[in-house]
Amino acid sequence: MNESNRFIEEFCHEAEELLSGVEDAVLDIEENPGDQEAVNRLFRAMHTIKGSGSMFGFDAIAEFSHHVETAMDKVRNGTVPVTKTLIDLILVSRDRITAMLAEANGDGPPADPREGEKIIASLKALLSSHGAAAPDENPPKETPEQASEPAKPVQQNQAVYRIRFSPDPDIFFTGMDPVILLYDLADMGECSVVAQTEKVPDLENLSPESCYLFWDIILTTAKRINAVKDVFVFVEDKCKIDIKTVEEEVITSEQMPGPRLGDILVERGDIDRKTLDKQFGTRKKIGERLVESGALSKEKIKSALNEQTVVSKMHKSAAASTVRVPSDRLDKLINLVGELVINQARLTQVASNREDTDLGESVEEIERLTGELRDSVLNIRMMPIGTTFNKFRRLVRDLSSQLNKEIELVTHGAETELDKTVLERLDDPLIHLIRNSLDHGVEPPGLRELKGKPAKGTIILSARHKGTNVVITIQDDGAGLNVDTIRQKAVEKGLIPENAELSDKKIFAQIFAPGFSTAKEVTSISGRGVGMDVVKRTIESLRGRIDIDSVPGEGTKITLILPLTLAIINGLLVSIDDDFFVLPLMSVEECVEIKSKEIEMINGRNILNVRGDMVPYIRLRDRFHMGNRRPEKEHIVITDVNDSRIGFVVDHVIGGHQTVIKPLGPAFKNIKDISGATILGDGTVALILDTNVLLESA
Amino acid sequence: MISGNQDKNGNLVIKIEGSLSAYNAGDIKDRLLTGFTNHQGVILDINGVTECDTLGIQLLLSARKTAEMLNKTFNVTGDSPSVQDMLTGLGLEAEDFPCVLKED
Repeated sequence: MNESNRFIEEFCHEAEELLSGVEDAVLDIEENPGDQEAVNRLFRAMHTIKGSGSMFGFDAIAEFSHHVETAMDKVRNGTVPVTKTLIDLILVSRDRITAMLAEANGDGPPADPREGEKIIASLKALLSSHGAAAPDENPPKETPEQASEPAKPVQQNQAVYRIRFSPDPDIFFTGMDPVILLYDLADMGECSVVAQTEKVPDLENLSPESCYLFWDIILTTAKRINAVKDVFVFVEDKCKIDIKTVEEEVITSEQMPGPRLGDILVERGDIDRKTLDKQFGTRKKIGERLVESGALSKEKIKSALNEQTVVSKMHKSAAASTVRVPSDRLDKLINLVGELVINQARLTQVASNREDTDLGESVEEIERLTGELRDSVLNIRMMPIGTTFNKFRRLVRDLSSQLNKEIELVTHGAETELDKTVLERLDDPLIHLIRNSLDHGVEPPGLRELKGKPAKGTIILSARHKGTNVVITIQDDGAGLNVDTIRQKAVEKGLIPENAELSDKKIFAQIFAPGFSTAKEVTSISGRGVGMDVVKRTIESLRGRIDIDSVPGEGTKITLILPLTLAIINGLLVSIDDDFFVLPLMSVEECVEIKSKEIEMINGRNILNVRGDMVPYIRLRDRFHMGNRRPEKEHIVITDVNDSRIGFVVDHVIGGHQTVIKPLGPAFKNIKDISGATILGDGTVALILDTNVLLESA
Repeated sequence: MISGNQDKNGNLVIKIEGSLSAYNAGDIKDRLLTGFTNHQGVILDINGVTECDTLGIQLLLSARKTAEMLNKTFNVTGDSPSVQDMLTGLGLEAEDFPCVLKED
């Protein structure tokens, strides 16, 4: 890749990040039109896109974003109010820039220039209707210096607030202890509190029930300034509260390791520039000099020093947290670590066969280190699911207005982390499930009111960790699944016999059959019945499970259970003759020992009686044509696959095994019931079984 | 409960049990003042303090200031988790009260 290509790619990456921020900001503004901070974020993002766009020669993008930027500037000044039209226009503009970027990047169809002109025309019309001048025809070309504005640090959503809180002297009479507020602030983020004691008088003059203390607080938090203000909402009438955002320029300035103490003090108004300058004759640290000369109290300096530390730290972490690594390099690293883990297991086994304490000790150390290495390498691939969740806000907004429904998307657990590969492949299934909820689940507002539900429907999207799995649920408060309709449809399609006695859950599971749709009419959003089977297949290919729960009239809840990562599997190691197999531990329920004779008795039906439950089973020995040398005692591993209990008969159950998965390679790509392989400590290969496929073929 | 004795250096030792807070700040203030007027200084034993609030801490700060002004001794001795928690919560450091953390 040549230099200029790299820059272009870099620009596209940055722009994509900014654009996803734009979407967030727009939706924030829609929810809360007074959110000045979001307006500013939006403005800055557009400004940066414009700047770097013109620097890299994407004049069309620069020009287009200039118009949006102008509009946002008017919003910022309060000339143009936030309306639905504006929000829609900004969102369309955002999509337009995305399309232009894709074109510039060479992986999209050429964007139609007329469409862009249309958007610009609407923007201008909107602005002039509010008496604001339309943007300049020719955006001023930015010089590269201007354009290369500080690339916003990754944690741009983190802000540093400087708070001076001087409580009302009589605050204690209201029964409020200011320390409670300080605790509240500490809960919001990284908080450093310095008490200012200079106003506390001596005992003679002290009124023991009055508050003389005041505080300087430096708070680093992702919360908005309004949330910070909310902490003081009950005391703000009487107390002096001063909240300032520490200037971003200070944080992002590149030349300096951090702001200078003197500057901070002047900016805070603790000291004027003159007094400060006077101190510059001597060589001591500025803080010490100021205290000695009595110009400032020790606490004042301490509090400013605190701010200096926080800001410098932020500056440093901003620089450190933006390492971008191509994912193929990461994959290679993970592969190597996988090999290392396998070889280490071998080494451990070899060492345990020799009675050499020295060797044993160092091997143990290597074992520990490899384990840590494996965990931290896998951690690199972990990404919070929040980015995926954010995409759905737009989806829900657009679809609900298209369907004339009012729907709110609530998300929980956005910080839950998942392997990048898993996350990427989750997009489509989740979109599909959310669309279903929107379209089939949540009823139109009128119908909802008739049923006594709030007109606004809610879809709750949540993610959480559960052991080594991640559980994602999509829950709506809509109509729920209609058991009878599904049953009837399934019978029509010949999926279930007409008189079959099935639990509700089993009937719900029918919607995963290919081509299954109960929607009376096909809409552009869903109802074609292509989808749920694909969703299920995708989830299963990620070694996950999907569950449906539904209560008629109350809603549907779809639960996805996924492994944290695809690179490692928690398995149960079993053996047949001298061959080893791994069953995913996630689906294993229990292991039962059976005598060869017992099986013989009920043979022919391949069903086993486990404490009164009839469990069908597959004898893996027969399935894989492994001969007939069955041992006296066999073991049956009972698993729960798609809500059916099924047993796998093996010779021996060896135990739990956390293994690094190796793909089988292209030669074996047609073997469906084996999803991969792993190498055991002694070098033998164990095959990982795909229980879903085995069940289907049974 | 507040009780006082004089130690060998002529300091008044004030022992506080239970509360060092808005409820008895007035009482403790009077005790401290008497101590500073009639004795070499004041040693405040906070071993038994189980409850402490911002006013309690503010009283300690004021006492320290008074002692500095009158050139008298003021020491806080003993270990009280509630006092320590309050100090941390208010953004004061233990070094502000050198004796708080040390057992005498």
